[in-house]
Amino acid sequence: MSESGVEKSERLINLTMALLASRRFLTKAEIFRNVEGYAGSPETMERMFERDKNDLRDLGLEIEVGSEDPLFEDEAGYRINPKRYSLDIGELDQTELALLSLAASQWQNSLLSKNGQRAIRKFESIDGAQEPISLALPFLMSEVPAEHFALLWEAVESRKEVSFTYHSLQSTNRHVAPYGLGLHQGFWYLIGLDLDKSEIRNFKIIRIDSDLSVGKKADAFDRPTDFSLASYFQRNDEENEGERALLTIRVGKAQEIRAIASVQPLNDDWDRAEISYSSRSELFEIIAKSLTSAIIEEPADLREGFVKWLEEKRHG
Amino acid sequence: MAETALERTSRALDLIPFVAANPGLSIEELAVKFESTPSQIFKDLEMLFMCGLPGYTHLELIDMELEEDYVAIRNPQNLGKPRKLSRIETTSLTLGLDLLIPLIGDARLKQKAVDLRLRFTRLLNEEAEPIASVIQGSGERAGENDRLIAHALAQQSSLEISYRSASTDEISTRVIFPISTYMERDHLYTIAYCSKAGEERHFRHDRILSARAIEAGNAPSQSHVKVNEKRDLLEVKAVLATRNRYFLEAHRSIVESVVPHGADLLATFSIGDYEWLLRELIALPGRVEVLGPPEFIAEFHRRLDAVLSQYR
Repeated sequence: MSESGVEKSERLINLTMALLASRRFLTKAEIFRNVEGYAGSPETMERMFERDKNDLRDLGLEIEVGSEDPLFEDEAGYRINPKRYSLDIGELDQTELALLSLAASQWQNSLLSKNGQRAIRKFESIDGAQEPISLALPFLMSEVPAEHFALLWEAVESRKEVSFTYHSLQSTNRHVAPYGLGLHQGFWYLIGLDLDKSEIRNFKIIRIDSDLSVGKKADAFDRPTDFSLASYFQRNDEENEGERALLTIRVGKAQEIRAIASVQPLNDDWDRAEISYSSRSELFEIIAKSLTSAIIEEPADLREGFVKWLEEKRHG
Repeated sequence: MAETALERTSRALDLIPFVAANPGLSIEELAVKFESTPSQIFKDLEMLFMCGLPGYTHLELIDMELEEDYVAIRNPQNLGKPRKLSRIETTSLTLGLDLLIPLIGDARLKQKAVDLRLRFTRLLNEEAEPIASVIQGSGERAGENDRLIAHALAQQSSLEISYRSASTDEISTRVIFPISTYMERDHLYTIAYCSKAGEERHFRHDRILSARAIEAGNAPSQSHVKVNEKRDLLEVKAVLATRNRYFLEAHRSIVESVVPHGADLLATFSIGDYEWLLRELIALPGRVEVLGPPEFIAEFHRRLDAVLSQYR
């Protein structure tokens, strides 16, 4: 029997219905006898059932295992508790549905967008779909890195290690135990234990190369019980504060820099700007956009770094 | 990629309660709703037609009416209620609410969103840490300008704004008629008709230095608004370091194509605002090599050399 054709889906649905319908635990023999789709030798049916059980669990269905009489070592049986199968979120009013729709539709094509829409369809399966009311809130479109997000999600969820080439100032190979994913200042980050450095690090997902691979072994590591994504970022922000740069910027120009700097007049043509920054690369991007309206004065290594950064473009 | 039996089973299990609660939709409408094709939805329904409870007589099978333009389920058996939300489905909603909440100005609506967030967090029943979080504290907050824009949007009225332009690096005053608002990469943008430019423009909220509501008559009718009119578009080709993929993704509307080029990416832009693209390319990290057209290459190098000469 095909493992991926109609037959299998049909059998999985029949099995779900049978397990949901039964108040008592169904033994394998009863399942093979009564549920349509099981055929072949006992070994074949046994293998089919084991795979089907895992598949239904992968779909999020909770299959309970037990026996009718715990005093005797009966053959184990299976059932699905209808209360744990169906969605129970209570009543949702029009405004709440509109808020949820908006929350679900703010992800661009990605795992989150697909699953958000799936959730909304489930709400519409309770009382029927309704014309959404407008909340006059901004329409959001948060970028989710399309390629890596699903793989990293799975790696965090099943606690599998990941390896990839990471493009920071240099390109390096990383081997990481992934602890979580965080959306911070418009960018998604992977946070995890860098296994080579033995330190918790964050990796901007867009800087992870296409060679990302997820290890096969599940539960390969334990996430520290005191680890929290939010406090990790807070701490990291604090650590990054304090780097300062001194610039001269043209009067009336370099608006992007003025927005983040403290500015003092210097002479008729130039102002002096002091900036606190956490990422050198991001600072260079802002300064470069001002073209000849901004010059880095101090520190000297930042000045040199900027020249090298520009020369990379001059020579192609 | 061919779909797996599991993906198909998942969709079929969700189709039953949806059709039961929304009778009378066509196969086509269901395909749109389930982001699938009409033929796939038809096959799913045909399969469900054969599914049922042990016994499998007509009394135990899922009972449906299946026409191309009318689908209804008369008896879903025990699959009439939607399945509970998966972890990632719930996460999509909770993270979405996390992003929305700071942007809600109305106190009652905000409280409603916060309560809803709590209700769904409980569903997740997370013992320790969530898989993904929105790290707050640094993103956009609804400020006075955002409120004025939201008001102008609702009233279809205009605003006078002082705006810091990214392409000219200058501050200008202009009257705008907001059309819609969206967020991209942590920045709020408003699409508005700009009376100064005489066309539709995108304004990043943090570049709006001040805004005030003004009486400036009605917004121009759509026929007077030149929407993304293709005029004098220049085709620019450039090789960019792979890490700049995010830049290409964020500006899809001007990117014609992206193909691998050795270890880098070869991007083709179609752009009217050359000045903006020049500044953006100079400000990208890593390798940037403009391949054409010749006048753009020359200008790119002239600008780059001018910046470098300040350090020599």
